[in-house]
Amino acid sequence: MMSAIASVIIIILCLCYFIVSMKPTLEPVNVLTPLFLIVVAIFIYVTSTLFLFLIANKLSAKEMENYWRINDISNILTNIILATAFYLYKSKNKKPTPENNNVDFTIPNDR
Amino acid sequence: MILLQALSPDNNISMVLFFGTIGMLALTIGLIVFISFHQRKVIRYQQQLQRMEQDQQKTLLNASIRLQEEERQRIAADLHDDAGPLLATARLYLNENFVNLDKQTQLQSIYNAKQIIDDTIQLIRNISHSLMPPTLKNFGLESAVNDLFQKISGSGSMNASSRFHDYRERLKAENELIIFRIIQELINNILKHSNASFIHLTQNTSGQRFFIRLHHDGRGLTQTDFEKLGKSNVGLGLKNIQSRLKVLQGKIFFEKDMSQTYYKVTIELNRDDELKPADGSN
Repeated sequence: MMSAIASVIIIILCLCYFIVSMKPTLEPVNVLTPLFLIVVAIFIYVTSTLFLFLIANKLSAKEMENYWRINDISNILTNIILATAFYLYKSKNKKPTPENNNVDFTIPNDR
Repeated sequence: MILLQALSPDNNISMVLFFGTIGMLALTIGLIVFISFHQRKVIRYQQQLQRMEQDQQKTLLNASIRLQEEERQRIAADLHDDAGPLLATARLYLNENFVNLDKQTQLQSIYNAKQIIDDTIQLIRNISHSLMPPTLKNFGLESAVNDLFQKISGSGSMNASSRFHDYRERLKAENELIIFRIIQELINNILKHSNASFIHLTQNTSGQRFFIRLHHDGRGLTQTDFEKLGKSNVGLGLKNIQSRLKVLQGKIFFEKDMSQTYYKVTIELNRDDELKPADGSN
């Protein structure tokens, strides 16, 4: 039950983020930004497992075993989106590799 | 398997769980798709807005360059057509002294040359005053506008009057010049196009806002006309007004009076960082 309440709070926070990101500002939030994808991943996990956590106490151990797959699938989906977000973050903040680091800056002595 | 278990009629909890999860997932995906489409639309709209702004700036820049060129041509024509021949004539008179040695004739030609040089000085002074009115520099916007309106009234074709209600503190010199040029341009337009019989200018302030309002009884523009002309290729003067106002971050409104007989042009500025001591000292 407590986890269901936590899920509802997280859903509300995610919705707040979406509402703020939809406000007409000078620079609209791009959907493919790492932050947006992380929020989407959390949102998908929390919404898809909300009902599972709500009813978990009323299910028998055998039923729970069956329905736990919902959690597994949500986990996989969330992790894929999180991985995409981290990949995007890394590719955006890639440091430029020095291409001309072998240039000789010494002054020639042949004058 | 989950689906089968959920759809069995005696298992209510499973049904709630199954359809609840599916419903929540559908809602989530729907929401994300909606946000993504909405954001894309917003980005497209902002790009379009930026493009329009760039076009507008380009038009204003072109107008200001054209205006500068026209001004240069006018000055060149004034110098070439008026000052040039006058100085050439003065030179001829002075040359006369070398050819004709008669004292009386020499005195006469020197006197003529002096007259011509005086005319040339007056002409050059007029050109210089048209470029930068000395009244504006020395005594401020109020005196310069009053001077301009007196000259218009003096011509007899139009009744022009101005009244400054609250101009105890002068604006910055460069801003005064910009406002003066805008007023000149507006009056020029009124004289050229409106066929008005009177112009009245009033100045006022409200808090930190500075207003200048021009009334006239001729054919005028409305705000829609002004915006339309500002975007088209004609209306160089209006574009010039726009670009000058952009420097001052001011606004201009063209409207018809409530009685439908007068046209009003209102220039609005913010005086927040404009204030300068009344004596005009730096």
